[in-house]
Amino acid sequence: MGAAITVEGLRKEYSSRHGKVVALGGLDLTVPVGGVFGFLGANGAGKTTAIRAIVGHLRPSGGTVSVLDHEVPGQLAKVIDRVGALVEQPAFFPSFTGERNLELLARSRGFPLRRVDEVLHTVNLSERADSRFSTYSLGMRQRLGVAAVLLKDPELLILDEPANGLDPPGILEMRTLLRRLGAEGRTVFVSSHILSEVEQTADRLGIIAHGRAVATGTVREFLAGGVSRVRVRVAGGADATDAARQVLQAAGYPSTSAPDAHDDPDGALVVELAIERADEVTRALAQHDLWVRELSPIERTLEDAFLAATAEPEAGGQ
Amino acid sequence: MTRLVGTELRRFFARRTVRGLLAFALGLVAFINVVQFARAGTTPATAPQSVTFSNPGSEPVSPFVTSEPQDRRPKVGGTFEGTIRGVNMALVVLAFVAGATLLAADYGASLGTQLIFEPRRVRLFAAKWLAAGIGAALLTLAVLTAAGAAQWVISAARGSTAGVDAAWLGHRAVDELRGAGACALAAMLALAVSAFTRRTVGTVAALFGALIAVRFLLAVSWGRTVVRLSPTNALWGVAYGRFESKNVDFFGGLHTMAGAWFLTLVWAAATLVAGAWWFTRQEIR
Repeated sequence: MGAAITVEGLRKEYSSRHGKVVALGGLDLTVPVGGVFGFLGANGAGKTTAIRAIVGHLRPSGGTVSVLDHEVPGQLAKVIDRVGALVEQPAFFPSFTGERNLELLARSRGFPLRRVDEVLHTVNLSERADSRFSTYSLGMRQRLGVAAVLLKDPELLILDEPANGLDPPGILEMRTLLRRLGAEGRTVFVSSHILSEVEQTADRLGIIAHGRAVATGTVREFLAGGVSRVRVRVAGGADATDAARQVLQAAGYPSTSAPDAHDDPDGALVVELAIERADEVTRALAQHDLWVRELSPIERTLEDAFLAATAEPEAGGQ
Repeated sequence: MTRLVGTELRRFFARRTVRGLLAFALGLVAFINVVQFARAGTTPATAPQSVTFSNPGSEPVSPFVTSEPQDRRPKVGGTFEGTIRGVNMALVVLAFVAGATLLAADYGASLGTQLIFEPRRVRLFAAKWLAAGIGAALLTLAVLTAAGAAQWVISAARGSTAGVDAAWLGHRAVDELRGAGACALAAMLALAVSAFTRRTVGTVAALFGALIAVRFLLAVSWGRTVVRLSPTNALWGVAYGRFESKNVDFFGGLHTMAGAWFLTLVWAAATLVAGAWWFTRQEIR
């Protein structure tokens, strides 16, 4: 089998009173089989539009989509029993109970009705199974949406902002569930704009901005990539820090004030440099009687990677 | 497909709107029969009443009868055929609402999730269309049967069941099936129209608009042709079962039951195709 999801040149344009709106401007994305794939993007970047195209809910203006090696929408029916999806907000009939909603879905595909109880138990919704969907909180609605996804016991799960509305324990449960599903060999495609959540859940990432994929890779690659930086503090107070900045500038290591040193009267500097070359900094400073009190690597966060990737969408994939 | 239709039928009967309509129809049947039971006398006729008016200083006006002798005793054998006509007309209107709600309400609710389970839209649409028809027919048969049973009970208690025999039962069964068919087609028509409106209210308004437009179209020369070919008019004809009227040519030259059935079926098929085509092209949220 090839990729779980393949998107090539996907375009979606809408006409509005203000002219043409480009929601997707030629999205290319490949989601490998197995593991958790985080689909990151700011609000309005095109995540939900892309997911709606992947599950056949909208007609693309151009490009192709295939799911489990089957073209969407033409061949989607052949693999639909292997795909579970939660798109945008959980969509259920408000006056039916949670259980009734799931039961009707299970009946429509001939799934055993015991699966309804099982998945309700999995998402901790058994106690409220007999309540109407309209009485559910946002978090409970989200849980029911995930339960509907699990109903098929799918190979590929497509989840659009699944942690939306969940309380902290709920988020933790969701994270654990997604990790478990990914570890079982399923492919979990999860979109989010909450970077910390994706960082803790996903194995691979795809970042979308302005309707195009701007970076893809493993989480490790994202965190390791980019410019390495070290944090430097010198003994001698604020004057010594200013002197150190000038020395480093002259030595070819431009620095900036550390943003986390506001309360430190002596200040600290951030130098763009790999930690392996830290000796060059200490030597340059020591030659001017400036003595390093602290020198530590600054680890790149997913936020850094995300901001770097989305700042220049024209730069292409990573 | 059978499984999908079965699921949609369950969805249809689980809707509060549908249950409310059924409760309303059965409640109305019960209310009318209770009133009829209470008003029914044990004598065959009430005495005629006469009133004489006179103005001061003028000749008295001749007395006249204010009411004809009326036999208020319920007699199911003679009246139920007319009851079926009236109830059929009312149920067609309710079937519009029931059919429209099956799809229209889904647009704002679970349609997106349903398509994750059945992405073949033509198949899903056809299943809903069939379920609306079957559901409406079953509801109609339930209400008409309840009405017949209630009429028979009060006739037996306070009136007469004369004329109720096997032949009569056979004729009324045919009348009820005709009503069930009319309501099924009304629900199917409404469901297909709701693919365009995406709203129950919008669908019902469109169909009622068509009914009202018939009245005005009859007043113009070319209107009779439009009325004769209109789906709501043909449906009305099937539900009513007769094509003559004392005061207005309501059916616009539609003369036969076969013609009414044919037209209704053609419209149902046409709207099915159009609705399914449109449904496949829609973007679902």
